[in-house]
Formats: sequence, structure tokens, C-alpha cells
Amino acid sequence: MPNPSPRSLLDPERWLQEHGNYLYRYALAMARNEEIAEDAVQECLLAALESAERYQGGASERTWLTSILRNKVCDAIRRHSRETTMAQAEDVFGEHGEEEDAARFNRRGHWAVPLADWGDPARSLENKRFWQALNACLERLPPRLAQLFMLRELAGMETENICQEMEISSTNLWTMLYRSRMGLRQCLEKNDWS
Amino acid sequence: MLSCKDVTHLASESRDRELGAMERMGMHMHLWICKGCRRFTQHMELLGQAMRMAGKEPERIGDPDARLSQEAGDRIRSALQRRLNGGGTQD
Ligand SMILES: [Zn+2]
Repeated sequence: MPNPSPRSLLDPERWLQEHGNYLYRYALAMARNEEIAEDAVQECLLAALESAERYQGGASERTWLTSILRNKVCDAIRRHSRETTMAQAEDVFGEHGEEEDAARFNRRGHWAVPLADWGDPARSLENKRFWQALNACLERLPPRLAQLFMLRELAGMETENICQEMEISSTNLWTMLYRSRMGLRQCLEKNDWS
Repeated sequence: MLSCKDVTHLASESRDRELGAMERMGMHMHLWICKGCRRFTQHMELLGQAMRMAGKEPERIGDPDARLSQEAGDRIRSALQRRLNGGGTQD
């Protein structure tokens, strides 16, 4: 049996000091729930203890911890949604989708309202007001939609993994991601950030 | 001919799964003639880029002032301590 890692050399107290708030903000942005975010940070640091011997110091410590955190946020969201009622999930499958579409498209399925030109994407990404608008719009997204959207687009998780972890079908996931993107786009268009 | 609504679904799903050849062709033909949907795909691309950027620089999104509460910090600290002391169980 290999020697156990020199645990005395690990310093989770320092991880918590130096990266705790950072990890918490990241988890909170993804999960949109304080309890889930705290849970994820704890699981992340525990997992980091276990895998510390495999961490070669290639990436920065923060990058390494963040990569562990992404999966832990996913786990924590899943645990939490098992514990709480599924009403939240039902809600996003409701009839709202049809209503939203009716306002966006005419009867023939063409745009009812012309889309604005948002200009050069590179400049948008440098624009502070774009980020303010995006934050405000993410805030308005139903939490369940926001969670899935974050796992997919921010954490870059593969769709198959999200479906497996969240126990939803790929069709459901695609639909919810569609609704997130449509909602965000429309909200951004209403915000005058450009 | 695909409608704009169809194309928005394909444009969104193309970010999550590989589209079939027919889907891709239908979408490209539509984009060729439809300015609205061309803009839509640009908006989706910007959204995707922004989120990727936020994944690398999380301070861009969420609440920059959020802090772990004292209680949560203590809870995490004692869980780590328990694990370090070799036990995975509650004391
Ligand atoms: Zn169109």
C-alpha cells in the first residue's frame, strides 16, 4: 500500500482563508442559492484534501480548486433539488414557454419584433454596462433555468453529463437551455447597454 | 422552409448537440436570407463568449461583495479538520 499523503503538509485553513470567498462567489453565481454554494465549497475543499497528492502544482492553486468546485456545485444542486419539492422544476416546463413564443414570433413563426444590432462582440465584452445588464438579466431568470444555463455555458459541462447528474432527458435540457437563452437575449435587448 | 422560430431552436441546440446534415443545411439557407436570425445567432455567440469569460473570471458575474458567513466558515473548517484527523464521521 502506498504511503498516505503527508496530510500534515496540507493546509486547508489557508485554502479557506485565501480562496474561500472566491470559491463561494463562484458557487453562488452558478447555484443562485447560498446553502447550495456553502455546501459546494465544503465538498470542494474536502475533495481537494483527497486529491492533493495528485495536484502537481501545474495550474495555480485557485484554478485547481475552481475545477473541483464546478463538479461539486453540480452535485450540490442535485442533492438540493432532490430534497426540495420538484415544483420549481415543474414550473419551468409549464405553459409559459408557449406564451413567451407567441410574443416573439408571429403566426407563421417569423420574428414579430425586429432584432437589434448589438455591434461588435469584442467591444461588448469590454463594456462594463454589458456586464451589468447581463448580471441583472441572469438575476431575473428562474433559478432552475439559471442553474442549468450556468452548468452548460459557464462551467462548460457536457450536456450528457448534465442530463445524467440532474436526471433529466436531453430534450428537456435543450428546451430549458433554449428558454434560458431566449429569456436572456430578450432581457439584454430591453436593457440599453450598448 | 424553416421558420425563424425553428431556426432559433436549431441555433440554440447547435450549442448543445451536433446538428444533422439536413438541419445544418436548412439553418444555413435560412440565415442566408434572414437578417433577424443572423442577428440572433450573433447574440447567442456573444452570450456564450461572455459566459466562457465569466467561467475564467468569475468576478464578472454574481455579487462581488458576497462572503462566506462566519457560521459557514466554521462549519467548513471543522469538517476539514475532522477529515484531516482521519475520520469522515461526525464527532
Ligand atoms: Zn429568420
